[in-house]
Amino acid sequence: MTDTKRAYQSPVRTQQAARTRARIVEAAAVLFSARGFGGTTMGDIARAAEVSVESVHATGSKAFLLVEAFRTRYLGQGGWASVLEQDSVQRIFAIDDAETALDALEEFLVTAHGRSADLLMQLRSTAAVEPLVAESWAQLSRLKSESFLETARWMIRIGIVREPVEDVAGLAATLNVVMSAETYLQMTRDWAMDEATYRATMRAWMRSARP
Amino acid sequence: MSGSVGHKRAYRSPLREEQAARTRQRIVETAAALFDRQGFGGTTMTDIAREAGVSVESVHATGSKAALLLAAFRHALSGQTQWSSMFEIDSVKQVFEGVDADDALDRVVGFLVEGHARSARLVLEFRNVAATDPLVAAEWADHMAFRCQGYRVVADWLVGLGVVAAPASDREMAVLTATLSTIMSAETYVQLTSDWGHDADRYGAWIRRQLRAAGTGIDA
Repeated sequence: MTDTKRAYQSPVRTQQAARTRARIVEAAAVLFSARGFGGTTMGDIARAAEVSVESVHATGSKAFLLVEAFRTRYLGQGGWASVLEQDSVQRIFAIDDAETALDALEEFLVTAHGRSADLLMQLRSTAAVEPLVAESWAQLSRLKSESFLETARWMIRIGIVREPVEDVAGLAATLNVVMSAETYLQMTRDWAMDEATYRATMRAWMRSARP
Repeated sequence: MSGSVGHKRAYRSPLREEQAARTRQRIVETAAALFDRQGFGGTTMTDIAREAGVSVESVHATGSKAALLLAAFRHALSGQTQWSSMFEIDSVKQVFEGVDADDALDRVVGFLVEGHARSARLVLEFRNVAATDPLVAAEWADHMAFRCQGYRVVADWLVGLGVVAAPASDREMAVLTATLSTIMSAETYVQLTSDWGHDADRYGAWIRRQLRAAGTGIDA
């Protein structure tokens, strides 16, 4: 965000700035999860991150911080435009054996949702009332649809989904429901499923998914 | 729910009681509309009073803001606010009058399409607010207990009618129940209709296919 016009860049200063930014985003993630978007101020984030309010504003608006906090928690790094471009996701899509792929998918769901499911829900409900967040949410939703279409094609190709499927877009929507944060929260929290049972349930459901 | 007015009065005027019930209903309906539009955090008791055309005291007498969120959700789902079990709702009772698998599926789909259209967004708001507000969390926990209890009955009923294949073990039954509940949930409805743009017909067809196929192979 800053520094683009500076001719000389100090590596130390750049590294320090990146660390400060990471601390701000993580403080935002913690506070938004615990108090919600409406219950969190930029001052709260500054205090929790032990930086000035100006530094928080320089990182981005509150709406941006909510999106960035989700992105960072979901994939371990922020700033991405598409899930498909992320190394961790590309590594999974490079697998062509169904069982190995299911292992990787289970692991991904448990890790990513464990860190970010609450934030996703905050993001969704904030988007319903905050126009700035609504824009980012619409963009994320489009990316989500694209990446699940890609996921559906890949799961058919490597034989995770065994039954023949004509309606690939329909299968993508089902896979989205199965693999969603919403489903993770219902299974693990509402139904108090332990991790092993959640994994087994996901595995069976991804295999038998239909449009 | 706290603070309902008039129950200690010795003489009860039927006219006054009717009036109080109508006021209460207006307050709950207004709260539902405002929570949906502005979110729970963005709505004050004063907003509800102003929009419902009653005093702030009347709103407080109807219940706390947390209690109003639960009442608003219940009213949106069922048109009734005073139930302690899903099975006291008229539209739910009608679902269980399904006589065979096809009839049952028709009734389930009809109930979900109508109920979610009215209340799904409030459920999501309810869940979220519960994550950050202890008072709402207590109401949410009560609601979850109803919901889980309700879905256990639904799962038995769908297995009994042959809509869903009978599970092979207790563990499979537990997973099947959680899966059925997730398929039929407000969360899933919002994902399909809002994120994926499916219309009511497409959503209904999806529910039928998923219920028919649910819960296969966890222990396979």
